[in-house]
Amino acid sequence: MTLSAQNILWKKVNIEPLIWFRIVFGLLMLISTIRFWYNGWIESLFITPKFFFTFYGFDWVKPLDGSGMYAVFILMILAALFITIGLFYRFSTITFFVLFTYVELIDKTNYLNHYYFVSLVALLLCFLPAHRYFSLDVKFGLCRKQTYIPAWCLNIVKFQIGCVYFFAGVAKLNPHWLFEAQPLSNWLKHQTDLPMIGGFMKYDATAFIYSWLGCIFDLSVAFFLLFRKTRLAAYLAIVIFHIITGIMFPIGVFPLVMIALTTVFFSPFWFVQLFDKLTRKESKLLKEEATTFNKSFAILIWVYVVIQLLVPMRYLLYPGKLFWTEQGFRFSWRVMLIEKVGNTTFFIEPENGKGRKIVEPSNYLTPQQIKQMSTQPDMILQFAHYLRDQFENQRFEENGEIYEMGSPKVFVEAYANLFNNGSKLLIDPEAYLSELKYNLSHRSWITEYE
Amino acid sequence: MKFKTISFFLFISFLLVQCIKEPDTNGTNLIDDFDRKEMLENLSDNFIIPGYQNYLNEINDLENSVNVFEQSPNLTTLTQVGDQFYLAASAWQKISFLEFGPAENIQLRSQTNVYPVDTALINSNIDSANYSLASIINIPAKGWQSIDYLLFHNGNSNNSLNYFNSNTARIQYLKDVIVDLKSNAEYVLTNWQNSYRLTFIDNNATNASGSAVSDMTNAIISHYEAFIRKGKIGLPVGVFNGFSQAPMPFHVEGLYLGSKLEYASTAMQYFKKFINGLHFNGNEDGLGLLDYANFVGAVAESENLSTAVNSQIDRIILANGLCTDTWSEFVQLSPAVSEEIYITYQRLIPLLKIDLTSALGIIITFQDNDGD
Repeated sequence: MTLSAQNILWKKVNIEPLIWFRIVFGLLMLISTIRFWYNGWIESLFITPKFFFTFYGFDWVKPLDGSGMYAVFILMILAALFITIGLFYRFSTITFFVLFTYVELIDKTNYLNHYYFVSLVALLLCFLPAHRYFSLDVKFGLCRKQTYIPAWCLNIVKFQIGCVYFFAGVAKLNPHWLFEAQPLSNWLKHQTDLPMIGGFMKYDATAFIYSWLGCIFDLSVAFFLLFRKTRLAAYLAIVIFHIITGIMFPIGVFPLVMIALTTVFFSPFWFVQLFDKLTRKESKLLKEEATTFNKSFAILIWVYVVIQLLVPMRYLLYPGKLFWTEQGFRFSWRVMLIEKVGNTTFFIEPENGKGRKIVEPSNYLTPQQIKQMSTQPDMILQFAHYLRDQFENQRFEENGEIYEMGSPKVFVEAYANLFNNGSKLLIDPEAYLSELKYNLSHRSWITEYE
Repeated sequence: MKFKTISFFLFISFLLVQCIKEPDTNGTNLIDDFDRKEMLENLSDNFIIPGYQNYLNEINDLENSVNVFEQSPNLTTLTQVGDQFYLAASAWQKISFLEFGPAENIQLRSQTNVYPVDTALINSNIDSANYSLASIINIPAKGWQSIDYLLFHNGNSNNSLNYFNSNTARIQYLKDVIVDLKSNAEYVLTNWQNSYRLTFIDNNATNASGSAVSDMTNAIISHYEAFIRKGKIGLPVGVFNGFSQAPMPFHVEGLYLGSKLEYASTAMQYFKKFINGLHFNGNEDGLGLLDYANFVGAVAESENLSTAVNSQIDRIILANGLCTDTWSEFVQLSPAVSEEIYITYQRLIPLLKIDLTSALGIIITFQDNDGD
């Protein structure tokens, strides 16, 4: 059969790889949700903070009070467990997707590309028949056993994983990464106590080799995974790449997640054998034939694919330097790409201009929130609006003097340092942030980079 | 085919793992290698330990001078107490920013130099003669600034002499405060000399949070930000005083002695020495944080970050000289110049808090995360 849109979507293929994917994903989510709890992050990320940086359009997402967030995590753990064993699959996947996404939407401080990836995979699983084999649903007769699936069910998962690598590679096609080996050269300099390859390899060269290898790896690995001849090599590269980055940087469970999930690219033969052993039965590899074509579903799939391809490129719509303004930065698989540090001091001035007060973010935000906000203009604006609302129409008395806030003005002195080129003003210090709209249009109140 | 592929990747992985994991042979195999361990050794042996030793010596001298005063209370012996007090309080300034390790364990800074002091509490303690300075409620009634109050709040030496002569409980309180300062100083010094030195030096594998470099850098920068820039300067000037931003003249250090900005200058001189890796005694140069910044080629504007930091500290010390009255009076009489002084301090913040931490790859993070 040839490579055609028809085949990519509707060719009949073995279900085993998808079953394997479901089990691995469920287990990984089980581990990482428990780990999240164990590390005390439910408390420190969702209960301690007084203010949350919501995503644009999702202002209505709020954390639950009391033990509510713990209940969410208990449900998520159960859902992950049920996904693994394939029990009440539809209900479990939808529950997991909704709760996981809810948790991620609470505060953009916690945004990670990998969390976004997990959300997307969970969404896809809601639509995939990953419970039709080797599951309790089948065992209990809750659904019909099925040994084949249309090819799109696997290919959409492969596409999603491919996007992560490919766009991570595209993001590296910038002069800092390629020609300055930034930020790696900076990060590697602090690893000299564990010296780079002996005396013959110059230090900067190492950072360049890492940068270029990383870029080529990201751009190509998904394609090499697709073909039988290059698959083993590509997978070994993935294992090595993630182990190395896992050793070098504090990136939690994600090396493991990627190493485990990319196994879905393996040959169906491998999985058929595996499940044959597990079930002590013998199934056969399917001959190539087509399943029924569903036009409206096909359209849905292509729409999803196009959205996934366009979203990472939306930054092109904005003028200014992406790494400085960070407009269109999230949801684009930009991983370990920039080194940026900042610091902010906020000022609040009553409407009538009488008096001015310094506001230290530490009175309102957690250290992690401050760290994230201090380099990200949209978060700076959101916090300024929060301050405005806190002070609006308040009345303060200091040593007998009355300060009427009315609609107060908020502005900020924000410095940031990108790639260690010295700190510069990030936001126009004269801009009344309190009067600016928070939306997705170009932010002219961010200073121009150089 | 498969064998070839696997062996190729094993070879590549071996090379890459070599890159990160090759054991340190003493760090001289690369020209541009920075030896963190050597820096930590230099800072411990040549600044921190001698600094605390000097501090403890000055406290001992103060204790002796108070004993002499108690034996023969007169103007001469009282003046000697006052002079020695100033030396000891200045010795504190020279190591005040080292609030990590043992000092952090006992919160040395809070135990030692909280101001403004609670004079009512001091007086009621003296009257009751029933107090435990180790108790947390007495933190604003002890430390250097309580001695500043006891010795100098009477305005002149004759009154002070009468103050102590008329009630021996006051001398007792002075002695108790000194004993409290001394036991804290001894704790910190002994810990550094015994076990912590090695703990500190050996914690050199990374700059990640929890490493010696990270803890130390975070500690000194946050001290500068909160206790020097804000505590010594910003609060008295009024920068942090609500909407009025009115001066807070009673929030100065050395209020009763009538301090100008000598304490701030001493603190900044030694802060500068420390980050440059200079020895505490003398000016011999070793490895410090700014040498590290030079090694990674950190810049600020068009110059080296180390140059920028050092010149800004020089400007700060120069700006302190603008204060021609006592700092308490000056913030009221010359608010504009006072604010200028504050701004000079404020300008050091981005250089330290952003540029230096970024250069050193110190993630100012107080909680672990999943990263990406």
